[in-house]
Amino acid sequence: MKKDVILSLRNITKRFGALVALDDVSLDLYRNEVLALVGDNGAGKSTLIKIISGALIQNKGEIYLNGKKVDFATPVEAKRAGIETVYQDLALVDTLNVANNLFLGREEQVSLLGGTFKFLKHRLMEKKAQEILDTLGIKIPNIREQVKYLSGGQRQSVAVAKAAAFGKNIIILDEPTAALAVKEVGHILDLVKKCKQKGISIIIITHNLEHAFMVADRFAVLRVGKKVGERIAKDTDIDEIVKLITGGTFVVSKKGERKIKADSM
Amino acid sequence: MEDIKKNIAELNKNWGPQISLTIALAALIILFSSTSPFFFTTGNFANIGLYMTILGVMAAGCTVALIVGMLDVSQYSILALVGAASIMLDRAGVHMGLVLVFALASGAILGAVNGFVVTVLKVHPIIGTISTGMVFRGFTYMLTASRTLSLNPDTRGTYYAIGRGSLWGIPYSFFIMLGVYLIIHVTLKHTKFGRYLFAVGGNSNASFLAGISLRKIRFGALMISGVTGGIGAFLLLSQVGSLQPNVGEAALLNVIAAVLLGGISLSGGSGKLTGTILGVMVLVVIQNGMTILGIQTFWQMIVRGSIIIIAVFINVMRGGGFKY
Repeated sequence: MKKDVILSLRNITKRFGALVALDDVSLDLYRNEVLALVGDNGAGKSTLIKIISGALIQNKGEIYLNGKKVDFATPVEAKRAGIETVYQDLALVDTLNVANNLFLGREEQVSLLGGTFKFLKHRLMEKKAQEILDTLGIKIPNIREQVKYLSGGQRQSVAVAKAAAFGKNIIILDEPTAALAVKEVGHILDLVKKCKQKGISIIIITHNLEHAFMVADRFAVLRVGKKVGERIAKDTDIDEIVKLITGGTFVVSKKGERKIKADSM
Repeated sequence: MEDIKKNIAELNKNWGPQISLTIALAALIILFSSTSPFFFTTGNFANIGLYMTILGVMAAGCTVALIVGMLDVSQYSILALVGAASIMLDRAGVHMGLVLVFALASGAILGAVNGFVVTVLKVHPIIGTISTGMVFRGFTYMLTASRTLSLNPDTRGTYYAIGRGSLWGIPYSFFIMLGVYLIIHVTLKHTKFGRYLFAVGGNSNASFLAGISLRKIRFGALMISGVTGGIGAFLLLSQVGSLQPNVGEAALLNVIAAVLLGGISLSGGSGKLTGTILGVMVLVVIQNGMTILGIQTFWQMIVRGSIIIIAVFINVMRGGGFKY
């Protein structure tokens, strides 16, 4: 059975001056899968998702969405194409409430006097916001609460919910479990699974491979700007992924700790 | 008991500054009433009501700029330049209605100059508006040849009818101020532009990623701030009938003092007009009371400066320090 490719990156190269952040990376994302994009700091993960989400433009290479070539000049264009990205720390406005955040940039308005005056439809947006949270099983005591008074996990849930509600095709999550309490991590990972059940394709970036293995169907590993491997989650394990990430092998130290021995590169 | 505690915390979170300002206002009124027989009189209250209108209108504009995280220090210079030009138009025989339109439009244009400096030339708002303020003030001195200008004696009456007239003892100017607050309130709470003012002030990166044009929002906020300077100019003319080119130079920080006193955060993203108007009232009552009690100007300056520091300190304690 041939899987349905929703997003296809072909030979993406991105340079920052002399630095080659991404070197000829090709990657496919299948419909309705969770792809974990992993790699060390500086491997090019963030650069790659920024290119997919329109925040950066590649120097070389093409992006195909549902088989059609796309060029996103701004994040807004990527959003219009149904690609939503949840950036670390950049997803929400602290001083706006939950409902306002969910509809930020997509406010519903009522026109008066033939469009001379336009006013926000508070009630409608609050009702829809509550529905969005309910469908994903997210419990926020009061959607009129400013986001700054929510816990880290609640904030992240709201950010993911926003992406899930409006990302028709793909949602990209940048370190969604970083800086969360253990219990909250479970909620977020459940949320990722729920989004997948809704038929959305998800790219998740994380440093925590255990979290990645809990949700990912497939892994793509980047190392210093190159894609060094792709693995099906159920056919691989943490050790192999770590090896791919670091280019080294595990050795067990005298104290029984697992340490990484780097290859001579 | 837990419930009561929770409710009080909730109340403090949402309305803390408003509650403390109302208490402060009541305390000040009691203090001044008990120390001077001239304070608690309808005449003096009408006086306070009139005096607070110019400050109040500009403070509303200043609040809009602060919500986006920008301080506009050029408002009094805008008032001076617009005021001087308006008087010259009046003396050239232009009808008062047109002078009003001119005041609003030129306030907006000078606000747009601020917008250009801050969003296109990317000069930090404080530095930018101090500098444009200096430029506007320079033009004011040039236009007036450093002299006090007065309205044409033949038309002065029509201005005074607005500036000094009142309904049920309440000055018309006070109603104009309320109108400005109503319009800005509706803009802040019920329009997309208003929502985006809070969004950009709260998290400009997230707003940009949501597809909001940061430049448009910041530009718009500074234009509103400028328009309130223009309205201030018109109110001044209709109340006083003349304009000194150095008007407001000594009062430069009054607007900002009032707004900060009202609990508007310097870090952007939040602010309530109820706080602003209460801040204005407290400041004006303090000034009025001190003047009635015959307290000398230098003491008044010391008090005003201290108020700003205390207001900002309380603001920082509530988690609203400066952020750029």
